[in-house]
Amino acid sequence: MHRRFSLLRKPLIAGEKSLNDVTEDVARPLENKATPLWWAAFLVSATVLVIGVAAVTYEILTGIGTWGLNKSVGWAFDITNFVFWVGIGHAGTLISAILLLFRQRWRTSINRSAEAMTIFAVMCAGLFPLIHMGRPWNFFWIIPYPNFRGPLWVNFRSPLLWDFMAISTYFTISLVFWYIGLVPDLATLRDRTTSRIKGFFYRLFSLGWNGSCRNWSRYETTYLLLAALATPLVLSVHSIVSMDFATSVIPGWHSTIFPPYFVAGAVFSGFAMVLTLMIIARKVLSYEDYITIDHIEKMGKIILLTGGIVALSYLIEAFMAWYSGNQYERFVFANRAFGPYAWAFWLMIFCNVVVSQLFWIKKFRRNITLVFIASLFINVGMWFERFVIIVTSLHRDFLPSSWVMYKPTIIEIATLAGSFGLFFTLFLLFVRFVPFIAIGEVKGVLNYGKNTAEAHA
Amino acid sequence: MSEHHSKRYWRGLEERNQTPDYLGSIEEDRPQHPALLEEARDGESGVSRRGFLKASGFAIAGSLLAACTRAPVKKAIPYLIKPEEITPGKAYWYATTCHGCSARCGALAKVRDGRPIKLEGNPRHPVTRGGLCAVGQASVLELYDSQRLQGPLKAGKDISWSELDEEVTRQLDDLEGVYLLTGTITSPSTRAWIDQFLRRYNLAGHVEYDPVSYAAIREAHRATHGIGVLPRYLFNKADVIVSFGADFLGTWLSPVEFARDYAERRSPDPEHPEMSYHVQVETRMSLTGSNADRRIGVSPAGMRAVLVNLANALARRAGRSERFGEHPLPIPEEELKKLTDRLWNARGASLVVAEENDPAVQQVVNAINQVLGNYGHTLDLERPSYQWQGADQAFAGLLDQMEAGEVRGLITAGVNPAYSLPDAARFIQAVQRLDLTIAFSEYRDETARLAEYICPLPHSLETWDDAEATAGVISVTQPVIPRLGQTRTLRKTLATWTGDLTDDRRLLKNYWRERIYPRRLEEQTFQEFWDHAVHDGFVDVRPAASDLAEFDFSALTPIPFRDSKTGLSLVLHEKIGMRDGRHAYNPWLQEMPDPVTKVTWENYISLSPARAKTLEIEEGDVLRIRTGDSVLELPALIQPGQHDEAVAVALGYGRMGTDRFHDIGPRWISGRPTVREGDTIGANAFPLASRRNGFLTYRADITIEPTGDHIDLAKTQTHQTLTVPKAMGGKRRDIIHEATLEEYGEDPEAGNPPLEKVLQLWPNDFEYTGHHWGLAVDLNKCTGCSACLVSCQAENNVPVVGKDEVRRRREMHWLRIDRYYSGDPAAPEVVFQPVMCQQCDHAPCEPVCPVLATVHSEEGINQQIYNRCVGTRYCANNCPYKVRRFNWFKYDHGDERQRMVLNPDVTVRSRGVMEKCSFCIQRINEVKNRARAEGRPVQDGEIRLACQQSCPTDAIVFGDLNDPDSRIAQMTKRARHFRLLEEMNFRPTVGYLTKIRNRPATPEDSTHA
Repeated sequence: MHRRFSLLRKPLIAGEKSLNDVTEDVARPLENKATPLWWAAFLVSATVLVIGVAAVTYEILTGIGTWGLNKSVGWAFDITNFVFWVGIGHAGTLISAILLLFRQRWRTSINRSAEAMTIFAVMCAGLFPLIHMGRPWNFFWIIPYPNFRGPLWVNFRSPLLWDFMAISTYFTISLVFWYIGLVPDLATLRDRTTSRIKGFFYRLFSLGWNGSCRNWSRYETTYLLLAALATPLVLSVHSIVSMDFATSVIPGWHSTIFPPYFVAGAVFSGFAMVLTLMIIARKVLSYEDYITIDHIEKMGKIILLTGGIVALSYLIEAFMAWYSGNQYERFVFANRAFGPYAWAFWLMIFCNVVVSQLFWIKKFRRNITLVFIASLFINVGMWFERFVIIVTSLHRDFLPSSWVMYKPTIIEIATLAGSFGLFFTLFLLFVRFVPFIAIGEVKGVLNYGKNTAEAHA
Repeated sequence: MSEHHSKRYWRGLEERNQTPDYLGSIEEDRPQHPALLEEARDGESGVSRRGFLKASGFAIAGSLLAACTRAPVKKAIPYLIKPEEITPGKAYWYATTCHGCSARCGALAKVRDGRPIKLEGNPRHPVTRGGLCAVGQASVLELYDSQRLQGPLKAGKDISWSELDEEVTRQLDDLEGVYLLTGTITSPSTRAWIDQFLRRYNLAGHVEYDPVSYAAIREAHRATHGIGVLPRYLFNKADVIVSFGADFLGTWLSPVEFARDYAERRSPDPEHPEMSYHVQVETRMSLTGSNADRRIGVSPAGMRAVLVNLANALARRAGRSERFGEHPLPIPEEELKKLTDRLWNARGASLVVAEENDPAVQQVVNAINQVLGNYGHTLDLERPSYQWQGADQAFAGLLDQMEAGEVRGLITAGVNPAYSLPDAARFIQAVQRLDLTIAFSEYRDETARLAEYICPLPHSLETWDDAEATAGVISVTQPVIPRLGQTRTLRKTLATWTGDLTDDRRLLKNYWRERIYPRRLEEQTFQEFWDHAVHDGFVDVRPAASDLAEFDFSALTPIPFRDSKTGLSLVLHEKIGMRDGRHAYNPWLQEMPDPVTKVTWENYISLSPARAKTLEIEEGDVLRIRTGDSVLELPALIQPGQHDEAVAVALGYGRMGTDRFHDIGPRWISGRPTVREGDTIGANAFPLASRRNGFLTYRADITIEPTGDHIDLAKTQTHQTLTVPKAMGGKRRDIIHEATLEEYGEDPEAGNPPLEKVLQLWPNDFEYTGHHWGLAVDLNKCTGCSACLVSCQAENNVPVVGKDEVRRRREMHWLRIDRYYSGDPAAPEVVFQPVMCQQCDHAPCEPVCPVLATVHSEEGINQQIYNRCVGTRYCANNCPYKVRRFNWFKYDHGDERQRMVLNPDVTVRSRGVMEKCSFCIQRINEVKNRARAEGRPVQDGEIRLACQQSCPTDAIVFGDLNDPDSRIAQMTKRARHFRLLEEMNFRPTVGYLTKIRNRPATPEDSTHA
């Protein structure tokens, strides 16, 4: 039996894996005991999470004054973190939904973990609008529920309300989409497991999957429909988040380019985070055959594209500020480049523009270490982009008498760290308990690039 | 829902027949809400019940005044028998007098349910005409200070009044050489009892003492006019004002009165395009200097030099031979000539004043005014001021006698020399050797704790008193709350000690019957006279006869030139919020930003930018000043416009006991206390003053050096100019519109080009068919005094946040006074701009609140609904004027007693809630309700906002923009009217009148809009 490889298409999965290999490879980390490395990582991220919980608890009990905000800068770390995490989530949805609709079969190795990353990122993001409120115990007032006080509705004109709608929709759909995709894999694990506890949960969550044609047919349809539902979210959610700024009057925020700029930035930062996570995971879990250098390179190309859009957006913003002739607009950009936060601005330019342009070089794209380092830079750069947008626009706006400086407090830094702690804790739990790779989907593309015709005399 | 009712039901025959009565009643009941108007337009006439409930429910939700608190009521004690005259919940106003300083401005006390909660100026008072300064506004808080003495003390332990009286009178009978040391006594009744007391116990003398002394002015007038009095200065009669360092708009003599008079001549309009011309020759940047048309920065020696040269030039012009000294002129000859010409051309309508407490200097000032013929016109010696009577030489003599052992006993009343004397150490040492020491004081302060007996004084809001601040006007102080402690006025105690046990009110009334009533101007019975006086707060009487003599030129002596030996001169001055330190325990005043420097909770050493550069120090670096054997360490402040040789420090700080504020403001892990326990707020600069020939001198030659320490100053404004930094374009922002008087004369729209009509894409959200409230501030009349800021704080329960929060740029004041410098940093021009919520008709804050906590009323007010706010702070971010204030923590409003000052009509906001200026909606509603109850429309000027009311210069105008006859509507039509960021189309209903400066145009002016 001799399998020949296609002249046109490279195989998506390396290592000549059989169907059973896939099941074994993906189930192995779940069925073995947790490695010391996993425990070490889990303990570190759980500790950071606990620090974050303490910081947030202190802030809710004592007041927003425990942050470094003031009368001119009403948002800083809180909304920076919010937009940062929401943005990161977009990569997963793009991989899961949009790449599915575009029939990019290489997505199958990464879509499960990327979508998980999205869900955890959105969870981290959703925390911030909640805890940044002065009276978070009244958060439910933002929900338009029927009542007898008028009835008293919410402000449908407010971008913060649109945020609430968008994020909750995004979370719901992402969760459902991810879960539905998980069902066949959970069934596989259910059929393999010998543990009673795990068996219970796998049975519960696999919804009685029996692998029949009917199951698969309905699964595929549902999956496609959910992908179609999730696709517009990639564009809409971050457009709406950008409206938090774009619909305001503050120079530096009041800009129509924000929706496409933010969406591109979201995909950009999301893929950077996906790369960071995947590069580590594939090494630790030995998934180099599944998440190949080609996958890394393709993700790098997306980073190049979206990074280019982001860079172009910076240029357009600066150009329009000058072209408008509006002194307040012009000042905001001059202040970003030459004012007291210039260090943050130029860090952002370096990390987002310079580093992303390196992805033109094929050798660079195919060098795992360099790509990893670049992804870290991009994450930092994208965090600083939101910081620069928010803080530099607020700290020096129209009236010079309200110009202030902003400095974060220890509580804010602990909260930011805590959000990373939450993210990584959840992700590590995911690695431990949920199949990292979509078994069913990968099996479907194993023959991609392979000619199964037997050639024998 | 109204469409469903095809069949209309009528409530009675009147409705069916649509009788006029019925229609009238319907009209009154119908709120002017858009939702209802829509229903009416739908063809249904009248109001359906559901529609009314819907609209009124919305309107009530929108104008919520009381907090919807879930906390249970803890104490509610109803009246068993309601007093006839008092309705609980209604405010009653009583005329009284402010005792914040000796100026004794007329005030009205607003009393709610038996306690005063607000002081306002008395509009009928002939001297102050309704204004009240920041100190006056804040003084109501001091009534509720739990640290005020509650009863008499002997050697630190409680004693009853009867015991104290008995012991003291016994000792007074036996002792010789007992002196009485008081502050300025403006009260004629108290003075009469002091005289009785002095006679009864054969006291050796009575000395009056002011920490910041005006004795030189009185001494100079004694020499030149034969009577040692302070003239009454009439700034409204002056076309040209030249002030040599006198901060007459801020702290000098009678600032509320002067500000009012001054402002009358400062605002040109098309019918009268003139202004007075104000020149300020000074060393530091004072509030008054900030308002001057021409400010000449000089060293202290230079100030004298300009004065002397001016006097010489004017004497020469008048054909007189006197010369007042040979001083090198620090300003160009040309400038002096112009000034001389201007003054000469305004003979009889000019005014020259000087601050320096040196009789020789003040005599020169008198000579100038005499030569210019100003006496009898802008200075009135026949009806002088009695506001400051401190006798420096007498006190110096007393101190010498104390040290020589010639004094056996000392009674102090209302003074704190152990703190405020330059040679306080001498005083403290000498006092400890006395046989009898009695201190009358509100607090156990630095002087009181040296005394064996402490007699607690009441707060002015708890007492009867009178005051003749200016001759011929006697103000009345009446109590508006029963005494909160076992306190007695000085008059009552001295009367008791002389054997008269009549109660205080009767003592006062008896004195009036005997001595004031005979001076009445109209025929009336004593009871009528007294009732009018108590009702109005003042009474006009015949002034005392004057022994005014002809000006005696022979009394004048030339002043020798005396430059600083060290090249640096210390200039000690009062801050408008802290004065001489008697209000150091008032957190409102501590947190009030100094109008010029915007620093709170601190005093500092002001240096010019060049001097700071020479010393290589930055703002906040701690410096050490040395003079003689006095040392002072304070952080530096860089003051544009200050002369390079001048080093200025404010008095009134370093008061013992100010560490009571160590726990003020929120406490959290990174929070720093306002002051450490055992420490003081600021440092006491009085020891660096001195005496010269007995007169208190507030200048010294000093050396200065950096200590290496650094303190971050808590400033409410850190960017000083309208020009952005050069690295970012260096453009001047068009926030303030200004022009010169000349330009204004040619074109009233100078500096204020009209905007092109803005194209509107959307129809207006709101039709203002009823009232449309608007406000305007005249930038020419606004002096920056910040009385409005404290008034707003008092009216609206704005919390005090402490120094650390101010440093973090989180002060809570709803109203701020922006101060911008322009021009040359060594000689800048200054403008003040009060900014409060602009109540925009296209408010950027309204669309962005997710929970509809900020909505627009049908009268144009941008409403902040506290109990709906969840605190996302998007509204504050989106506000271009940054007028919104967030409750970052749960802010304390003091202890239970201090919370009695809270205004019950205004919600006290909780943590996490946004707040901002509401145009005193509680005052608007109060007047609207009253007008509706009386069946009449609201009159223009009837509603007075807290800020508007307290402004000494009447710079703020408020009213109904929809009323074409209202003052505010007229103001919006004026050529000088502009709005902040008008081109952005936020449609603020707050407007400003351009700042017109009475000086020639310069090339830089063309860069102004």
